[in-house]
Amino acid sequence: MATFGAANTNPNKSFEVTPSPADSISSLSFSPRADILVATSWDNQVRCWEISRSGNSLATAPKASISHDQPVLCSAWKDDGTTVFSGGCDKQAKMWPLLSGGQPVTVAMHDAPIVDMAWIPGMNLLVTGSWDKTLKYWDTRQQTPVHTQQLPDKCYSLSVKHPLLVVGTADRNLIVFNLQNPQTEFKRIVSPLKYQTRCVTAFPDQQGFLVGSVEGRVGVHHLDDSQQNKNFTFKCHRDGNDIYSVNALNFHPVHGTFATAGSDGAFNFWDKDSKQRLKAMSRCNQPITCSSFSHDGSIYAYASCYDWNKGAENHNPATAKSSIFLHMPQESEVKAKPRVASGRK
Amino acid sequence: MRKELCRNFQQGSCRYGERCRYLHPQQTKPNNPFGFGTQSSRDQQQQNKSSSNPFGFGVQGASNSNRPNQSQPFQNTWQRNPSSGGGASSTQQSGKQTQQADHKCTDPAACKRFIQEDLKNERPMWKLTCYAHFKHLPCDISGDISYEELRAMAYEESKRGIPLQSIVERERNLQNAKVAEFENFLRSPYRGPVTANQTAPSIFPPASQVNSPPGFSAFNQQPAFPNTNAGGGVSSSGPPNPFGRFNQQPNAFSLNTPQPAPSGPSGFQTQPSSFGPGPVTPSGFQTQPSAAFKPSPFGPGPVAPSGFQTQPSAMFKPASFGLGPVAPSGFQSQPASFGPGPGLAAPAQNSNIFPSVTPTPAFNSNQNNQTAFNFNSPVVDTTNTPSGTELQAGGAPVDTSIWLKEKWNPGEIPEQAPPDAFVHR
Repeated sequence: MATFGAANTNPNKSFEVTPSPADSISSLSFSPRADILVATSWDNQVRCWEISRSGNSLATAPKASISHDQPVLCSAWKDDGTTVFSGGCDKQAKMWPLLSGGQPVTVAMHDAPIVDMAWIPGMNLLVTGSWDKTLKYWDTRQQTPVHTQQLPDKCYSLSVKHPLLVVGTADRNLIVFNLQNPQTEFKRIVSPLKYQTRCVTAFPDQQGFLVGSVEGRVGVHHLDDSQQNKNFTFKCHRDGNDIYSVNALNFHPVHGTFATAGSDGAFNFWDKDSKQRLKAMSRCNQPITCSSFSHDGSIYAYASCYDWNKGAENHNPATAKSSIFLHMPQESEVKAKPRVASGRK
Repeated sequence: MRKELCRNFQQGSCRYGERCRYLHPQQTKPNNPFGFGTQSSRDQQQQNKSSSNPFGFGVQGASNSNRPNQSQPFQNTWQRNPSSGGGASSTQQSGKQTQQADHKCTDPAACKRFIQEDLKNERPMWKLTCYAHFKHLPCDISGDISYEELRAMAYEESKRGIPLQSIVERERNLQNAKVAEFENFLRSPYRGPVTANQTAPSIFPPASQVNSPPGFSAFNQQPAFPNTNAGGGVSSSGPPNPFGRFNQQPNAFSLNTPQPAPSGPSGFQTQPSSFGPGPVTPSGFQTQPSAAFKPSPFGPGPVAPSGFQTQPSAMFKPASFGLGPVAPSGFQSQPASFGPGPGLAAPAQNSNIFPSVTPTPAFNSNQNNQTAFNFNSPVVDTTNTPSGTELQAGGAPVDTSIWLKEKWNPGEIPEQAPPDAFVHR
């Protein structure tokens, strides 16, 4: 891909996090308590930066990093903001008490790479999802999982908003768990989207979830049958006839609006209740692989790097640049907007 | 009555809303390059910029089916589909609008139309994907491979010294095979009647019993893990508990619940009902009676309580799943575990991708060979992967020899569509 210069790499004039990882970024997680950002990468590293604000600009300071033996695919923070979990192709998950400067220890194992994970605050457990078609729940003090849950297919994405857990698997299964009864699937749905599930995220109010697919589409799905009429899907991240995948979905922690980030290099903010797009940001010259809001929603971090959407032939490690950008959303971009028409129930 | 457009509505400020006697063209969407819209319409019939909905999140069915009877008849008119009169009752007609209703695959022509439209207009750039032609239906084409899976395979091979060229070629082969699978499907798409969300539960037995080796099902019967936890009554606070309202579980999953729950060591209840309100433990499993969680079929139990270090891989052996050979030193990156191994493009899938291309045409020509076909034939398996076939879900199983008869007596004609293997193309 030709880079014309700074304009295309960072058209939104976001702040860049430096030093940038050597290979694509697979996940970004902000601490739930502070402006500390963790990024996992295909270069086997888990890195952590502290973000500071001065006026309207942001500065980033690298703090620490740990390694895995193989590419790291996912990360999660503990709810007290002291510890980071990371997992990936080495089929392990590590627990890293980074705030206290402790060493990482392995706390989870699967038979295949771990692709997503989440900390469940209500139960003090880590849940990991893997391509070995299982979910495992871990008490970090024990070596064996507290529970192993079979999935119909490989886990691709999961999202927790206690007590709601949504898992998206291969072949378009979406499985919902009530974490108060985690051994039973609460509901299993076949995706409202027609193609591969790429990411899922639960509503902050736990009434449903969003699902994004490889065909530039997001589904909004409510759990309660009585709210089925509020379900819908919409298209996004398309450019003419090119249909890109939706790589990330994140809800704003305060406003209940959400962001989508796509393989087309763009990220957008949406309001599902008024069914509007709030803001379309400019396209970067590389796909956006992952994104995250900070704990108060004042910072939106996104990673611009190659996501493998064209396979190995477009991967050139010598010239590839992976960047993490920070965007400070304005209120107009992320604040929910009421519907203008009156008389509508 | 009045066929004029409401001027106020156009400006986004009509107070009468649904009662207004002028036209409020809400159902259609404005031209939107970023294509908020229903699944169907890409060419938006241009509407005015109804500023109430500037980017027109398309609403599948909501606007339509929720307002079937309005006081002004003309407001019912679907502006997008002038041919089909009243809009509310969407029938299985012209493909676009009718996607809103539940699609039951009863009309092969409709199915084929959806599929053709999709595969012509809505092909995503990522080719290694599954596909279904309508929302909530099981996959017509399965065998998902995600970006990360492909990338992990490539990195693994590269580590083993395989040159980039071979990696690229392998990926290209995967892609070509999948594209060919789609082409084939396009030619013979009709798979039989099926309803949304119906087959998935029936194909996959309730959770934690799928693909599980004996060790795992024994795990299910452990007294410590009754599945009958009534969890719905308690909600933390604030937002309505999404689970609390559900007092029934779909049938498929209730099979899972009647596990007897003897006096468990921890606060597990024995209520057979699902999420009705009731006394409840706040968390599904608690951490103190950790002994109870030790599933005995699993060999070595938890050893040192401290966060374990990385060497004793023997202790870890999550061999319970029997999903494939677990690399003995689970912490190294054993290449063996990656190929067609557990988790990644599982063997069934891999073999699925390649053979599905060739056998189908070959078999079509042999259709009259009576010995070649039965439901166990691998051909059927590859085009409809082991994980789910619409054929099985469609209705009562039919003796397949019926398809080989030259003449049917009245009453013998099966109602189901013939399995793919029998279909002439």
